[in-house]
Amino acid sequence: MTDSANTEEKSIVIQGVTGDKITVLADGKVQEIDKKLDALQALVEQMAAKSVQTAGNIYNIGSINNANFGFIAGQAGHDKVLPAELAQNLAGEGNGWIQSLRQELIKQGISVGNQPLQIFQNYGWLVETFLQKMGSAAGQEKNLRRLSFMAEAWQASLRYMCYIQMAQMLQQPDTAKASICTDFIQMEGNSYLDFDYTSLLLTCTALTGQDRFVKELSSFVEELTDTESALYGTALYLQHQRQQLMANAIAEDDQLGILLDEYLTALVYWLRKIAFLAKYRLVSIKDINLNYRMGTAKNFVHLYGELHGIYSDGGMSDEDYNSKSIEGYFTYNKSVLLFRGTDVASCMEKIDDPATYLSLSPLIIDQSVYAGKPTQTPEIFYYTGYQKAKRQYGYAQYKNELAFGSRGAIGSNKFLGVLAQNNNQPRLDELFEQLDNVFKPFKNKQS
Amino acid sequence: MSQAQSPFKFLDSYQQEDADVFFGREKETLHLYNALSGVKHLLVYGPSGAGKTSLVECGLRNQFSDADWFALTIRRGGNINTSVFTSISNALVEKTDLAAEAEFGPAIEQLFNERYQPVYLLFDQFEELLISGDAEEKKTFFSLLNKLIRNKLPCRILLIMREEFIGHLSEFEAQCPSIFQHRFRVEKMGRKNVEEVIGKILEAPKYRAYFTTTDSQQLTESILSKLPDKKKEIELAHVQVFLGELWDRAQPLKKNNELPVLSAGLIEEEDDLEGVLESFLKKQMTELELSYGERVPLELLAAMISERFTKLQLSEAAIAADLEQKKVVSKKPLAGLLKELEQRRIIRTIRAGDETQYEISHDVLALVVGQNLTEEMKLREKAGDIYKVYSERQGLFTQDDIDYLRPFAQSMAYSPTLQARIEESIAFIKQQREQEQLRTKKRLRTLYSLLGGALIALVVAVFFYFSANSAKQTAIAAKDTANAALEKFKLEQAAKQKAQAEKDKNEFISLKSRADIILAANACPKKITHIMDSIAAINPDSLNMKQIIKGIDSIAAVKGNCK
Repeated sequence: MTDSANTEEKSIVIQGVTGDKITVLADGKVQEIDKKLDALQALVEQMAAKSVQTAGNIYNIGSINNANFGFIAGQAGHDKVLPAELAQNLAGEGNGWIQSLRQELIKQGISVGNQPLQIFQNYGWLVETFLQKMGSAAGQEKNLRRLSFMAEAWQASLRYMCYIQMAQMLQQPDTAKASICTDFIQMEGNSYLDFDYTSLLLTCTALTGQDRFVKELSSFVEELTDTESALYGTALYLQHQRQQLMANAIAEDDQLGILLDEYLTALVYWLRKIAFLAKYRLVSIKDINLNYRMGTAKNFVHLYGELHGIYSDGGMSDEDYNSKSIEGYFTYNKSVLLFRGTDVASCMEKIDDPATYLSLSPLIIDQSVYAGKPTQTPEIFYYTGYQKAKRQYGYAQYKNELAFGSRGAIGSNKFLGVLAQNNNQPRLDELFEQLDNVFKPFKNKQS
Repeated sequence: MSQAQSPFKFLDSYQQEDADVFFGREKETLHLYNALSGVKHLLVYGPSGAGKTSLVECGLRNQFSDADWFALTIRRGGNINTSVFTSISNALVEKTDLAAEAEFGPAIEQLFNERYQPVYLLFDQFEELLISGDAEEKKTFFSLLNKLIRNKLPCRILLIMREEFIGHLSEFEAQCPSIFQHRFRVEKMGRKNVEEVIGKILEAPKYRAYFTTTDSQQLTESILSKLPDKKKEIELAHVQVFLGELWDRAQPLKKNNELPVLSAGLIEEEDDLEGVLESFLKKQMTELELSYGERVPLELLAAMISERFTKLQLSEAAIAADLEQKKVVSKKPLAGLLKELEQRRIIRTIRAGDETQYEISHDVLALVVGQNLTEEMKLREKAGDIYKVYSERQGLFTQDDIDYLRPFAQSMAYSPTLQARIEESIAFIKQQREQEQLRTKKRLRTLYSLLGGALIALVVAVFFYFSANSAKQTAIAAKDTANAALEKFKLEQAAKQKAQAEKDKNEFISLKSRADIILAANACPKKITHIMDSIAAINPDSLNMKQIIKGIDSIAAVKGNCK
């Protein structure tokens, strides 16, 4: 998805959707075509258009596929307001919404405490950091910053699911690659901020087929693509308000309070829908050492840090990185893994079955493992794209905040550039090699 | 002192809100952020005046979102462990009794649960613990610190301290093995860097409401010309104070309703950037002495520095007690002097809960105070240091200790507790001496008795010795006499025997001759035998006689009995 300002190229605008028809504006003429991807592609080809515009978003024609066509087309006819079934019961003051998340987690079979932080931690660092920010003094103020925290909580969760699906594709180079995957790998500049992760999620989910690591994503995506569902409306609402915020189109006035309550309601609904993520655990594998002497078994000592909350089942005595020796088997070194299960120690006992874990690296990395000093805490960064001119891969710190309005560049936002030669952090050289190798199939397709 | 204060930071450290005038530290800030990345604790050290606190409180602070940073700046106070719990307790909305907590972790956790922000514990002036803390306090702190470091809480710790004290930390590596593992040195600003900073300060938009400059470049160069060429680096505090001085000088020159103008013309021939703090201090002291009495302001400041010329936090009562001990009497109430010193930005107030404490604004100024003490004050400071050492010693003092302490009493009276201990020690020593004298007398008596006995024994022994010796000599003489007599006797006997033997021999010969004659003449054998026995009894060689007798008997047997 690109900014709506870049509309100089010839494009087709989807103006509305009715039943099985789409109303489009092509070359200044309004016409109705079948609500099918084939029909749209034919029109695009006929008009020699390069992009399709809908509801303020512009899509490269190659990035629209059967998986996301319905979702994209449906936006045109959608008012992008909070679905009625949510609007009648807004989340407001107090911690009721947090307890609502707890109920959903319990329903998923997750053992969860009563404290807000114990509830948030089940979503993993990428998401919980913004839920925590919402609880901080800065996040409690009824202003646009609070809205930005909520918007990023949603965006982070969406990205998280994309990484899960995309990671599976990275491990299957022979899988057919969609254009949107290539776009994702080759995001430039700040385009990662408004990239259409929803489309990426839908596309990747379709491409990974039934053999998905997170099985629950199938039904979630199915509901998400149902344009009649509340989830679909909620997703559009969350995305739309975030875009409005970034475009500085939301005023800090009397109406903001209502918007904040609405957005929180939508966010809670979304988070409840993705509560299945709590059945998985994000772990940074800092290092793997072989402990092997004559007459002994091969023991692979994994130094790992759990990327969930401040606690683990081991209690407060646990350090940020803990070690576990596993006989005969090992995972990926210097990587962020997603384990199926809630107890990491138990999950690591089962690594003889590669289907029990998934490496999300290099889409998510722990900068600490590349540091030239002894480190004690994980420093998580997520992938933001590739600057072709500089041959530089980009990462952003997981807790970076959204710049909006007059805030300009935010001093606390941190980024990491990975070059072929990294003089300040030489260990990143090997990450560059890994990135080049893993992303090569995607870059070659259309770069 | 001018009525209006200069807008410059003066001796205050930069805080979060000063980001727009915090110049020349961009690179250091980034390096500090990177040093903290991925670690739970960081030792930030450097020389006094390098700007450690500013780099952390302003530079580093602005690298974090306020949603991700909740910092507690902690000073040692009376006890660092108590100060940690007090700071956390003060920050909590729901007050709980943290005194029951045995560790920092649960207290931090409580804070995090309330605030949802990662906690940063900033131990500023950390050397205070190493200088003033007692052994148990230090040991406890480093043990608790080690546990906190090894805890998966979103909490990071920065220990900010002067570099000359970091060696003391090695003592606590056993309690906290990683204490030196992560560290960051803050350097003083170089000349080039300071030039850039002055230029940016003079042109900072924030200051435009306070002054104007005619030529900031020229002014910057003129200011730096007051720094000795050999001086390669400088404390930024000196520059801040100098700018403040220029601002003060510009006040009387400004026209109505216009801003003061800072220009190179304000700089005087005798200005010295390196010594600006000293001249500033002297000027302030001179002004304040008029109201409070000679040396009183400096005496007060002297009370607020440690023996190593670092700043101390003291309450008004503690300062008053110190001055009283030094017999320093102020013309006006102490509170007024403290207020004036604060207005002149020489000291600052620190409020922790209900308690108000004071400290000198900057360690660099504390150092200047220390360097400007009079000889008498230095002696007193030394006395104070020595008293402190002796006060910490266990048990009573020896006479040597008391003799060592005595000269210092002329500079500074003993504290009541030290005085009491000295008196107690003197009494004890006196008592000890008396007991010793008694013991000595007793020992002497015993000794004299023993000596008398020994003397008598000796005399007796000598007497007996000489007696024995005399007896021995007598005995030897007697023996010699006896031996001589014996020899003589033997000789006489021998001579007698010889003579007898000779006589007997002769007689025998005679007898034999006679016997031969008798035999020849048939003389009576018995008679001959009788004579022969008589001879044999005398002469050992009488066997021959007996043979002769036998011969005679045989003869007699042959011849018949002799009647």
